Amino acid sequence: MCAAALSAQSPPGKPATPDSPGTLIHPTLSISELARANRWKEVAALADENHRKLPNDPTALYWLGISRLKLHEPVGSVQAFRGAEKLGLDTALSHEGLALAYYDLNQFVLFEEQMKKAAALDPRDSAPYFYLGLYRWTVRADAPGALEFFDQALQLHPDDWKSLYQAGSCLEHVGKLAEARDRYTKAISLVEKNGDPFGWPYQGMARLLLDDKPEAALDFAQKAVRLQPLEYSNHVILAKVYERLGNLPDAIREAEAATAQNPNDSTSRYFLYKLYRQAGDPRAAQALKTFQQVKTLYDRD
Amino acid sequence: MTAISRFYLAVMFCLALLITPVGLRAQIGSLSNPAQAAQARSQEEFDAYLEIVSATDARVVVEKVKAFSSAFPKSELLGAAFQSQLQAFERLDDFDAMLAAGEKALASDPDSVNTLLALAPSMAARAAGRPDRTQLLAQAESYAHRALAEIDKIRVPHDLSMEQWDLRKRQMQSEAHGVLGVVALQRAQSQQAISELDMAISLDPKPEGVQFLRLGLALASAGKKNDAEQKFRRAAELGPEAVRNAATDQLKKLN
Repeated sequence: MCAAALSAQSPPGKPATPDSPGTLIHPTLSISELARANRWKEVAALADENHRKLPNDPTALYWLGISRLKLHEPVGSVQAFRGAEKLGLDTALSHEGLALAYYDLNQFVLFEEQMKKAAALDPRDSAPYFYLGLYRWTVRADAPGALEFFDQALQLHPDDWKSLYQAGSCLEHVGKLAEARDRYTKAISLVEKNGDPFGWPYQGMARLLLDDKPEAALDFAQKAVRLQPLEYSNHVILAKVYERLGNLPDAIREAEAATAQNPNDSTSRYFLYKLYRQAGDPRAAQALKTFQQVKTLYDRD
Repeated sequence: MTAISRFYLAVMFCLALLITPVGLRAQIGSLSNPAQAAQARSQEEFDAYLEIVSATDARVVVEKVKAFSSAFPKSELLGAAFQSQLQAFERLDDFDAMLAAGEKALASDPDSVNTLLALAPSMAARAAGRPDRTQLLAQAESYAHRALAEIDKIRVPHDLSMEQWDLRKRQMQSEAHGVLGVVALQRAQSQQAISELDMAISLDPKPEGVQFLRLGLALASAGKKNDAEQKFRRAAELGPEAVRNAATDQLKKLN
């Protein structure tokens, strides 16, 4: 997962924009309104102006940190949050924001340290555990370690469908398929209740059902693509389901969609080659060549 | 002054033309594996590192790197910090300090293609007239070979397309072959210089005037007057001004 993706993945039920940095006095209304409207450039400009007027007020620096984070300027974000911290700001939200900015700069030691501080300062907030789990899973590929964090997040927020999905994904990875299925089912039920365009648990279910019940897998795989058509891995799973059902033309169409969306993924390249070969398609030779190039360049140890 | 020494004076002048600033060279983009990123162990360490990367004044960068290396001598970020210092010294045109910073950067990260390709061209181009010329040329040659070997081992970040990577790779290979050509030219090994400089031009997606100028010099030194003339004309066409003037001078000398 790219660093910026973590901050984009706020857990459900958690506002993307906090109203205030914890116990601090609420900043000016206009900044909050701008932030709620995702007008981050204006938030940054206003926060900058406020900071110049009131250099000892950590709130302005907090907003500067948040806005820079949202504007993908993690260096400025870290510097603003650190400035706020040095002026005495010590809230769960400020540590969480700083953690996410560190994450964007691949500073994972500091990221974990700050997220743990955020969790300690607000023991009812599930978000730090979700982020810690996501880091453990996507960067460290540590499924058991990640699962512990997702479970902690779920204890605090049982309806957090993103943690449910991620926990399912970790369980699937360690071979606990029945438990994985349970998490995906719960996540799907919550996603459907809330109408959130979150296709991942559908993809997970399709993966689990692929070998034994491909007909059942088809519904889930199609739903995943409908909800998140730009996620290449949804097309890969749907292609695999179609292949399993003997529908090569649709499988090829989906595999082509996957490789178009993520041309540097060797797994979907190889799958496309296999499908062309099965279908007797003359494009197989070129697909194999491209797969080999992609594998050599991007998957080199 | 003999004709040969006049020729080599001209060569040295042309070699020193347009040493590309490090920051403008092809850089490897995002990390292919964030899990392997250098980690700061404390917030203070990272604050100090961010002060380096945020500084715009080269003198400030130099001082901040000194302070950083003294405060955090075991930092995993030292290699990157010294790379910033190397670039700052290059901007300040302080060649010896640049070499020292480069050596420190390589001590922290011996396989850094960016550092190898920052040092090698400057070493090759500036060796002339220095007492350590032979050593500098040997080092430049060694760094260029190391860079070529490392380029082939780079695991490409997924956000870079194959086409983008191919362009970057060719550009980096071109730089390394350009260094080998300049080294050979300085050693009066004309044939090798021609072959390396020709390779540098063929690999570069957008070759510059100075590359044709250098190839022209190599061809001229091998007595290939017509070919040299052609390259000097191309160099004059591509410019910029300093290259155009040098190429025009060389054309006059040929005729």
